[in-house]
Amino acid sequence: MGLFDRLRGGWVYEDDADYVIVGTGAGGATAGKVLAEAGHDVLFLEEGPRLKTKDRPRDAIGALSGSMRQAATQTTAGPVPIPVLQGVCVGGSTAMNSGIIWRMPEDVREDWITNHGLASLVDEGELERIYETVEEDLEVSPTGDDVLGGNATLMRQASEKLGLPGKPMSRNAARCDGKGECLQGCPGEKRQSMDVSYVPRAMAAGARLSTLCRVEKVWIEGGRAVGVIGSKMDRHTRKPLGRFRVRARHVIVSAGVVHTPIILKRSGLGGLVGHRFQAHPGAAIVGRFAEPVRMSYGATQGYEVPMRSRGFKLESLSLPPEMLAARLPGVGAEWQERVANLDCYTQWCAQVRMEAKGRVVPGPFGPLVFYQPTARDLAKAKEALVLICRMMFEAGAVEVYPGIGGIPEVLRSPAEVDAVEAQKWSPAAIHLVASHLFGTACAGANPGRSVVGPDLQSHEVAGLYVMDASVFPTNMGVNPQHSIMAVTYRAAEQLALRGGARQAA
Amino acid sequence: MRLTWWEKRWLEAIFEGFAPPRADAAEGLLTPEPGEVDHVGRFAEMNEHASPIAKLGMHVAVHLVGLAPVWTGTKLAGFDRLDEEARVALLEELMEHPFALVKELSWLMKVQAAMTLFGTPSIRARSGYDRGREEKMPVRLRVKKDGSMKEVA
Repeated sequence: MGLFDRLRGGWVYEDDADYVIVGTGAGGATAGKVLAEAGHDVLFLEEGPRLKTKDRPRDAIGALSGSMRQAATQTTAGPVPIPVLQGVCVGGSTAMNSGIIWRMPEDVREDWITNHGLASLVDEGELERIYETVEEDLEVSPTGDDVLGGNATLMRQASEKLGLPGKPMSRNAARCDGKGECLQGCPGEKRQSMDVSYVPRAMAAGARLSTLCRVEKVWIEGGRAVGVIGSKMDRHTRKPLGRFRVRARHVIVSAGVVHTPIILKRSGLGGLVGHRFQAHPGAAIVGRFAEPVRMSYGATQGYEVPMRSRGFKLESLSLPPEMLAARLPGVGAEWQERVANLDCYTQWCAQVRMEAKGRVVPGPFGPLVFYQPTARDLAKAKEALVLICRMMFEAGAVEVYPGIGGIPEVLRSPAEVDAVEAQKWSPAAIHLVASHLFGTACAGANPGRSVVGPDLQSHEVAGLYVMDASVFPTNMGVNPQHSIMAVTYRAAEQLALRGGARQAA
Repeated sequence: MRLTWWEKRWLEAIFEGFAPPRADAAEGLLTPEPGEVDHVGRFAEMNEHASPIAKLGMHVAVHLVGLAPVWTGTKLAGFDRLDEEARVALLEELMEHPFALVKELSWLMKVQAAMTLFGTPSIRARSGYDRGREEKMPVRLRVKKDGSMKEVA
């Protein structure tokens, strides 16, 4: 704690614990559950509120402003801003994602072992055991035909007609009843996001949870982490009410790929903190059908076409009406005619494994994410989006809306798709959105090339751990939640063993 | 997000430009009734927790489109002084503008208009969006006192 903190004093909240965990997303909740069930004293600190499912708004405005960081207006910096979506509530992004579950691809695991020295972290046998445990805990199963809904079913038809490797998605929502409201919070708590699964399980084992606590830095004494310092936030205005501090034997930072490096930098860590930001930015295409598709019924995301060898994955993605309407072309009567038939549309998106690497740095109004896709990345995105246009016509679409600058707003035949493919697309033309984020506090055996070691402990500060997707040295080409959980599960188990019996901080 | 009185007038006019309200709705069009949508209130609610840069971007967008009649040479007046036909024509022009910044900020206004419009329960009900769900499961949307929606079985 610096002189400024000592002089300032006036703590509105003080606490102590064996383990303080900053964040309750896939990484933090998993670490907390493992440590609490091993008998340790765990305290979760979450910047956002705990949202009861019954109180979560069902409209998009309420959903975005109540549970997403900066009401989903956080973007990358630079000439072509890309929205960066992150949850800020108990459960983190798992409380609004579609619960898609993918194990870490074997080529990624081998790369992490060979090039980053992470053999102990991603040991094949250990990961297999953890995957099975997590999949059982979170009720992981393929999306059933009864809840695929019209949007995903049409994608399946197109995929089968074109001979593409499509399949129903595996999700942590075995009891899904197809309400299509993952973004707003699953109405029946069928999706096993962290707020309804591992956080409650950790608390049943004795963990404590303090919400609306924004951690600003790690409290370091004598080169060792001894706690965290931050601000208690007002539930409604999200403005600071006063400062707090928590003493702990171990500090685990799981604040997400954008905010973890900011906390580390504020705490005096340097080196590669904030570097190697990576993502799977995506874009979506909308198609209009003559008959009702009924996007409002079915899993928010139910069907996917993984094409990792091409560098992308296609997914069905149902949207709330507010967001769907914004994607339809036209102004005045033209738009009013299109939005009068909101049950006749599909939307499918492409998630692209991009090679671009960016950087997260502190800015005057919050973190700044510098990230710019490369020309090869944009070529992959173009290939994926053109394929979606073809799939939509194959499924019977009467109009396709690419939503890409500089090309026609409405396509009415496959021949028009050929023409669009032949056109040059401007780098700013594709409206990308990034929700799968990686890097910024990478793990590795070599301290000169990484921020944390294979046990996810900081190379610089003893007792400080990072457990979220920040530690991923590369992106993966598949949805990351399951890999985040597996890696942090493994590191937390090792930490629990080393941490010994329960001990007061 | 605080708006000046002239920003509120422009905002209302811009959002109504995308879907002009009418007392006598035309067949096959989704037409709000006059006063049915609280554009300004919903806009402020939506942007209350937005990032400072996003808030700045919203103000810039409102001014850019609000003053578009002047800088495009359409009329020496704010957007709210245009008639319905001119509003639609100008928005179409802005959405196709050769300058990417103009096009993107105009599109941002359309996104916001869609959010406020379809965040209004009565408009959502008329859009047909929930038809599929109603057939699969007996779900209704009830409007709460604060204007938000709640599902009831």
